[in-house]
Amino acid sequence: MSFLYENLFALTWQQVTMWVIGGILIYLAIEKDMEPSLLLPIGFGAILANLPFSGAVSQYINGVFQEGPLSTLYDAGIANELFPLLLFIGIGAMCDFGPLLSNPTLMMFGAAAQFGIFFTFCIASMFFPVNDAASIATIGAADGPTAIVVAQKLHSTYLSPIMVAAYSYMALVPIIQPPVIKLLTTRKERLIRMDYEPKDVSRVTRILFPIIITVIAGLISPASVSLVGFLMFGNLLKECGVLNGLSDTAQGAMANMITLLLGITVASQMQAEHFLQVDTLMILGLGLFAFVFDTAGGVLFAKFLNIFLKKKVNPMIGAAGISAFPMSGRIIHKMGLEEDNQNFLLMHSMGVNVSGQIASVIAGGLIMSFFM
Amino acid sequence: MNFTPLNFVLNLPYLLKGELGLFTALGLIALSTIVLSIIFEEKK
Repeated sequence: MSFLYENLFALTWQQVTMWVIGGILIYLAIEKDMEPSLLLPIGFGAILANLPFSGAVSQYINGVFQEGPLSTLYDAGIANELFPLLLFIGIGAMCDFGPLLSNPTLMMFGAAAQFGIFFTFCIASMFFPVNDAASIATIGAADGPTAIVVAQKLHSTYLSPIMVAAYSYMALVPIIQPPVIKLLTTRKERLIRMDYEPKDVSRVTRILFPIIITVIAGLISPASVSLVGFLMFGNLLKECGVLNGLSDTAQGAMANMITLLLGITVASQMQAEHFLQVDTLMILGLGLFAFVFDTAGGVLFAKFLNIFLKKKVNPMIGAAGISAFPMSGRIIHKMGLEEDNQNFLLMHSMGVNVSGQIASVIAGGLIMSFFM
Repeated sequence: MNFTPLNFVLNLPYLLKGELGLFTALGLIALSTIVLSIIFEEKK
């Protein structure tokens, strides 16, 4: 009868702690609606991977190697970066670059709002080896797939905490960004209205845009080609107008399928012995730091531009350059309405937000170019 | 985990290089987009 309770005696407090963490992630996903498509699979997977002698993950039991399906999925889809890159096709197909094409100068805010990545790298390098520090800093890209690809390419040993931090903080953007923005702007600045004059963007421009981005990003940062290329391929599917079926599949069924597998597969790396370390807390802290400084970088850049501009920009839109598409753009719009219910910043903030998506991918490529 | 404060200073050039690379790439993309919009202006 010992088989009924011997596994219970093998349970450790660390595994129970991971169940609690898994439970919190599931709670946040269901009750708080925070990135449920990722936090729920990650939370459940964390419980699955931390049962004593779990058959879900590969491990040696009594000296015999037993293959677990989550580990198999990890090798097939994350260790070779396949899942995040495929997900990028879906994200590209979801992105509407229209507001950005109407006003290309918004692109510069995306560049400024990646400041947190590089600054966090400098901070993290005081505590971690360069490859790990660079991977941790990429949490600030507010872009899960980019964080995974960079951490994999740089052979970081902290993939699971990096992923958990990246996706959790993306879900927490509505809580993280507003206080930072309010701290750095005056009410007068937040009340600045911006006229939106939509320009007609030709179909040829929309089609050539993803191709040009891929070529320019590839020439400046060759390592970013896989990231930018897949993102822009997805966008080309959408904009070409003759592959609507493929575009719909990429942004619907395929993106959902990959998201489902990505979350639960990442959790295979959340085994207590690897996850419950002081380093994990440090990574969570540094990830938050990167988000805060990205937001600050975007806002301060907008304030800097206002010194020279006759027609002032609302500095809040700079914060949308953090990526986290489309959540960040919507938050800025909402903040604008809270200050003045006739101040519609949505198209500007969305333009900056998609530029942040492009900039974060290029930033990931630059990080890889520097340290690979 | 070792605490090496000097690494902060040693790695600051990457902050400059990174932001310079980003502004160059996005500046070129913005410029190309403006040129594209002029060349392929929507006919009404």
